[in-house]
Amino acid sequence: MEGTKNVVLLDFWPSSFGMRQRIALALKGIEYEAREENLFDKSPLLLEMNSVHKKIPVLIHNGNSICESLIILEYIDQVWHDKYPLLPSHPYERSQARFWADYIDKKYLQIYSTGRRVWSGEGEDQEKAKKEFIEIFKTLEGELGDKTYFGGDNLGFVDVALVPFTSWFYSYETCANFSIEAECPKLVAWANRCMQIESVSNSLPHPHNIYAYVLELKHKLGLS
Amino acid sequence: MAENDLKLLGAWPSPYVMRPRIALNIKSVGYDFLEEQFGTKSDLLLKSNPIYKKIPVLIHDGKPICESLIIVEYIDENWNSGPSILPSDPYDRAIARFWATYIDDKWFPALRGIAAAQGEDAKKAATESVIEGLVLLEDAFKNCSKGEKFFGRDKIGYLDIALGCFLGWTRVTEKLNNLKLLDESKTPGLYKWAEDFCADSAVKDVMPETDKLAVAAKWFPLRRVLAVAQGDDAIKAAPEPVVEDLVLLEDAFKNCSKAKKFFGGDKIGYVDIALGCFLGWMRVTGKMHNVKLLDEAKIPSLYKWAEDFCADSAVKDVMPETDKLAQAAKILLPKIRADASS
Repeated sequence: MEGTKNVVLLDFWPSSFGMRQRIALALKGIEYEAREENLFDKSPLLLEMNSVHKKIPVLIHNGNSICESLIILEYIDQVWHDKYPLLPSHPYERSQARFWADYIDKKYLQIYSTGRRVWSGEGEDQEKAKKEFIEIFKTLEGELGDKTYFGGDNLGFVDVALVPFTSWFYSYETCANFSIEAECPKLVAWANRCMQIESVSNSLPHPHNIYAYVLELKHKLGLS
Repeated sequence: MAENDLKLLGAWPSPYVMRPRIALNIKSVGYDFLEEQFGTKSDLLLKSNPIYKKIPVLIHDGKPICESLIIVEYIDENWNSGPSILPSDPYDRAIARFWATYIDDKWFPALRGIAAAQGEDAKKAATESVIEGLVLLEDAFKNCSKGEKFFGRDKIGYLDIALGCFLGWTRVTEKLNNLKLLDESKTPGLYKWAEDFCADSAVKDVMPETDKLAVAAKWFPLRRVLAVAQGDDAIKAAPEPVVEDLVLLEDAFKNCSKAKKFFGGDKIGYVDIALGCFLGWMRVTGKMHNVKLLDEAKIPSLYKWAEDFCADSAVKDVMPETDKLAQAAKILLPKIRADASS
């Protein structure tokens, strides 16, 4: 098996993108050094390892840096392919897994700006944001269908890509006064099933901690 | 007719469509190329790509694959006996994917930004960001090619395809804006690579001629406005792209009219008629959705042109009054929408 000595993850605890890597590395049983970054005071190592975007997560393996969370996931899956493969083996199914993971990332920009409007917007703006937010998750519910996980019987690429965002649900619900479970019960049921898996529950922060972070951010940005 | 049941939905000017075409050429795989008509989306496209409704879409044995780079990876993995497109080493693969993502998320939008930039300062800033990107990509090229011809080293690979598909539009942008983007002195590696890429047998037949592309580029905004004019919902959803296209048309108008009244010069010509007949619609839609399409501040020349066009003796008697048209629209549109959703 490929050596795990030189594996470092530059991360930031509330980051959904960082959570993806934590889950993947945990599922595959890979030991690594987790380095917490302060995004308001980025380390020289981060600036060097991701000079183009200066963002986390960054995986450093044998001195090489790999950036962009889905690219890191594919790298981890390829290098440590024998334990808990995340992508299916058939090319067509692989293309579909990649498509939905990419969809999540494309919609993230929308969720992010929507999310901000959800927890800091007002009135009509917030209502519109909630609607967009729910539509995205309803589409994903449709893709999940009656499967246990997006990956079928086991967690797959799309599960790992998506489940981190659920740690933010409590914050959205509390700030905008709505229930994601009421609108997307299947998705919330899926999230609960994922959380039964140790590698997932150990990798995600408690939703209340995310909420505390959100309140801190709102205060910092003068939005409370 | 293809040996596989393989269809590619696309359009010849689209750089994204070129990507799977190059990949299929590399693998020597035949396919049916189904060309979408500009401004319309076929039923097959809407059925195959319900999420984004965009080309390219590869349909293999009835199963659709969407998003150009995902399609390229599929082609590479499915026809794995042919020459490989992605590097085999995991780290090299991660690097190739990283730069392809950079090109799609940052570099190509910057290139498109040159055409959309208003005013000399904005154009200069947009141009600089494109050239900065090319300098980064020059470095990537040195690291990936390791002295050989392509990012994929001795043969075209994933990153060559990801960047090379934009060479046509790069040349068109240079031509239409009188700029040098791929500069032999600044980025010598990429300059030579561009020549080698376009000459490659997998690319030659699918790379559109620059002149043909330049004509398509010049009239894209007009064709888009006319396409939107056929459907009320598009303008309601996002008036901004229509306004942006009108700003691009302002430029085209100045070039064509050469300070005269019409696109056709002293008298009304083909383009005047094509666009002018939608002036009534533009006024009504603008009124109904509280959007100023013919904004004198944003498009002064087109604003004046609209007045001159409507006052022309050939047009006056056939141009409906805005209020009459608005009333008709109020009655007809709900009915049209109801019919459409049933």
